[in-house]
Order: sequence, then structure tokens, then C-alpha cells
Amino acid sequence: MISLHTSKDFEQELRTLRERLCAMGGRCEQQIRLAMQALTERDSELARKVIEGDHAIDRDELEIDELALQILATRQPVASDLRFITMSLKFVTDLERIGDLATGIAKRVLELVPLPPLEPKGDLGRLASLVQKNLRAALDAFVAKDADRATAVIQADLEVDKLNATLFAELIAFVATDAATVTRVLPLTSVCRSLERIGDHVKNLAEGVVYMVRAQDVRHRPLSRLEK
Amino acid sequence: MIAALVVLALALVAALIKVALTHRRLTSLARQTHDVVRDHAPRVRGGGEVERWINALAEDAERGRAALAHERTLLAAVADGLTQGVIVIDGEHRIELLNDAACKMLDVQRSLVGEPLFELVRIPELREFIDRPDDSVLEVELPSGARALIRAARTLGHAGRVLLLEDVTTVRRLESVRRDIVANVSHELRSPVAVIRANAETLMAGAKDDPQMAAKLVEGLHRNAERLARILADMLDLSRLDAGQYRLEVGRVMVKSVTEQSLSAVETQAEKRGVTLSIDIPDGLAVRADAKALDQILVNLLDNGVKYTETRVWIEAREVGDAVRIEARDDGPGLADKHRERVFERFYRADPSRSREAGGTGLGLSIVKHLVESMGGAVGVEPNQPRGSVFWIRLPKAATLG
Repeated sequence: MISLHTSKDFEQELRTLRERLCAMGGRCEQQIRLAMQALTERDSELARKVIEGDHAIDRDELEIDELALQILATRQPVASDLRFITMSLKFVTDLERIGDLATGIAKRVLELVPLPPLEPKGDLGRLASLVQKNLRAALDAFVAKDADRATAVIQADLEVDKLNATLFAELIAFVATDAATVTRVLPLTSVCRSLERIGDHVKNLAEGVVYMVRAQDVRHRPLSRLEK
Repeated sequence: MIAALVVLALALVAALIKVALTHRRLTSLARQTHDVVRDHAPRVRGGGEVERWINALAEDAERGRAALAHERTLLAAVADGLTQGVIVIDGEHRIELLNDAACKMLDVQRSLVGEPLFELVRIPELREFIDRPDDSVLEVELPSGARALIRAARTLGHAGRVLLLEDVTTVRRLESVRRDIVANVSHELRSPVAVIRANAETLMAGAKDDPQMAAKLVEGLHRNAERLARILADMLDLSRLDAGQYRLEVGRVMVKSVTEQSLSAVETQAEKRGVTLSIDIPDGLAVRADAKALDQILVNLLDNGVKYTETRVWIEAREVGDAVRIEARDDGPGLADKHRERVFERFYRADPSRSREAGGTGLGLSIVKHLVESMGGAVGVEPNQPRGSVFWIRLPKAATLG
């Protein structure tokens, strides 16, 4: 009877941990979305709101870390539970970095708003939506414990890198034709790089999901060997 | 003695037969009951008392199930009929019910019943919200960009929750439009008043004795007083339209003659700006409208065109099905896409500094839209080729005479 009670409590703790991670992931999605909205609508008030919102993500990081450590210490989990909890600790670090990068984008928006707009920014929007899509898919894969979906996210990061490279070249071309645009191009390249790095953290998340589900470490592996 | 033994043997045989029969009946009954319970057969056969009772039980169960199914469809129909989103979760935060509106708002699938809500719907505020006391209200922005007002209630008996989601996107947008209008009205009224006050003060301070200076200041006074009067008149028109107090006498109106009349109202202004005006309207084209309102509409469109065009403004009209489309075309700089959707809003200005300089009240197009719509028509604006804008209105065609 006692052991049954304990396992129910344990289940509840694991559920809380999963929910908190998902909520933190949701917050990151929201921060990226709002930062990009602030950029396209040239809305400095919204950008400041994003910068302010990073505190909540930092708080999430501390609280989730503590929760995970507490479960490790009191329950001494094994096998998939252990993999889930150790992965949560990494997950949190990646999510916190994603939050920081979104804040970085918002800061660049504050620099850009006083300057005249630089068109076209169309592909920046495409890069952002691709990164957001991948983050969403990685979180979905985590929830569904779906290693195949996570693998797809790892592969999709290649496209993020490719898009980032072309976009970067396009932005630099602005400066080549008109040196005066440099004050506007620099913050935009920084946005570009932030998005690309968010993409890298999303890839880490996806690799974590594969590890959690298959107990297989896929970090630093060529994609061709990743299938099974 | 022998006879007694024979009787005993017979009785024994009879008893054995009876037992065998009963056993057979019971086995058959058990099998049939099993079939009824498993829904393979409707009733057990045979007219014995036990069979009757089993059939009565089966009937009760059937009625109970039908009632339950009815309740369930009723509940589902009620839940899906609601415009509010309804989510019911159990004590472990698993989804028990998710109505259509909630699915739409959260952009999730119906099939998620039984799944953990907060892992699928990753709205951090929502996760924190359900731990708060009852009767609290939360307003969040959903991933789709819509805004929702969320209320929570405890379900009876266990630790679950009922969440009610109300889409408040439109309400919030209208509130912000209203705030903009109030801010704009005060701004529009304040600037001519400021000029009038400053000019009057300068005159009083001694400028009235300098004829050249005085003339300039008085002209400024007059211009701004006129502007105030125009804004107030437009606002009055709009509020009458809003309140439905603007009486329209809808009848058969000849488009060409009304347009010619409207054109004369803006001729002086057009001459001053060096703008040519022209019309291209077939004779005999008639709409169902109020003549005065149509004139006001056209004057506003022409006035707008004259202010922003480069060289000319022209009005075209033609039949389109059951309606007549009247277009005011210009060859000015045109409107950017994002302004095009909003130019009919009160006090909305695509280029604030330029339109104030041109003397607009910011209400003309809004009045046009109101008037046209209260006569059952529609308005819009499109880019003109190769440059400029086409402001069009569509009004119902008047039936041909005779």
C-alpha cells in the first residue's frame, strides 16, 4: 500500500516536471513570436515587453532545475525515468538560451525602430517561421515521445542553416551597394544569427528527445546514420 | 418390498432426468445471458420466471444505455453549439471534454480526449492559472494571435476543472479603435483651437495695430474657425448616422445629373490646384438612393481626389448586374496596402501631415462609407493603373421606368 502511494506521488512529480517544461517551451515560442512581431511592426513597446518577459523564463529555469534535482535525490529513478529527468536538465538550459536569443532580437528591434525601414525583409520572416515551426515540432515530439518526429527536426535544421547563409549574403549586399545602410544591416544580421542559433538549440532539444525515447545518443553524428 | 424398490428406482431415474434437464436449461440460459450481456442477442428465450427477470434486466439496461447515449449527444450538441470554448480536465490534467470552439481557438484536434492538456497546449499562463482559487479570470494571447478570456471552475466531486474560453479579439480591437477615436478627436479639435487662441493673443498683444500682420492673423483665425466648423458638422453627421437619425429618402436618382451638381461644388478648389475634372457617365443610368446623400458622397470623394491627385480627377459609372458602380479615379501617389484597409476609419490618415495641410477633417471617407452602407451599398478603394487610387461605391440599380 505504501509503495503504491509513493509511486502515485512519483507519477505526479514527473507530470509536473513535464508540464513545467512544456509551459517553458510555450513561453519561448511566445517570446520568439512577439520579438518577430515587434520587428515587422516596428513596435518598440512590444520589444520592451519581450525583454521584460525574459525574467519569467529565467525563473522557469531555476524552478525546473530544482524540481528535477529533487526528484533525482528523493526517488532515485532508473531507466527511461532517469533519462527523462537528466534530459530535462539539459532541455531547460537550451530553452533558457532560446529565451535569451529572443530577448536579443527584441533589443535589436529597439535599435532599428528609430531608423528608416530597410526592405525587403521577407526572407527573415521565412527564417523565423521555420525556426518557430521546428521548435513547435520538437516540443510536440517531446510530448508524444516520438523519436521519428525529433529526427525530422534534426534534419530540418539543415534548411535553417542554408536559409541563414543566403539571407546573410543578401544583407551584406546592401552594404556593398550603399555603405550608409550599415547601421541598419548590422542589427538585422544579428537577428539573423540569433534565429540560426535558436535553430541550433532546437536541434539539441530534438536530439534529447531521441535519447530519451531510444536510449541512443545521436549527438555529433552524420545525418545518414541517424535513421535507426 | 420389491414394489418399494421399483418405485424408488423409478423416482431416482425421474430425479436424474429432471436434474439433467435443469442442467441443460441452466447451461443454455447461461449461454443466452452471456449473449445478451455481450449484445449478441436481444433477449433470452423461454417463458420461465428466471428468463422473464433476465429479460426485464436486459430491458432496463437497454433503456439506461439509450438514456445515457441521449444525454451524451445532448451534452455534445450543447457544448459544440456554444461560441465559448469549453475544456474539461480531470485531476491529472487529462482532457475529458473539448468542444468545437475550444478546438478552433487552441488549434488542436478533437481526438485529444484522454491526452495531457498542458503538454499539448503550451500556454504557460494557463498552466499556472488552474492552481489559482476559483472564480479567477485570465486573459491570454493564444498562439494563433487571438485573445481569450478564460474562466475556471472546479468540477463537482473530483479534482478536475472546467475551463471556459471566450474569444475577446474583436472586443479588444474595437476598444482600441474607440481609444484611437477619442485621442484623434481631441487632437483634431485642439490644433485649430490652439491656432485661434495664439492668433487672438498676438492680435491683443499689439499686432492689431500692424495692418499687414493683422490681416495675416485674422486670415488664420478665419481659416481655423472654418476648419473647426467643418469638423463639427462632419461629426454631427456621423453621430446622426450612427444613431440612425439621418433621414434618407431613397428613390430613383439619375447619376449623371447629381454628379454634375457635385462637380460644381469642388470646381473652385480644383481650379486653385490646377486639377481638371471630368465625368463619363451614360445618360439614363439611375440608382436607388437619397439624392442629397449621393451628392454628399460624391462631393466627399471628389474633394478627397482633388486634394491628393496630381493632374486630374474623373468620375466613371456603369451597370454591374443589379447594381451601379460609381468610381472616382485620380492619378495621385496612391495608397499603400496597409492604409487601403483603413482609410474609411474615422480620423484615419495615411499621411497625417499632408492631409491636415490639405484641410481635410479626417471624417469625409467615413461619412461616405456610412451613407453608402445605409443605402444598402458598398464602398472600397483599389489602386488605379498606372498610378493613383480608385474609390468606388456600389448602389442598387433603380428599376427602369415603364
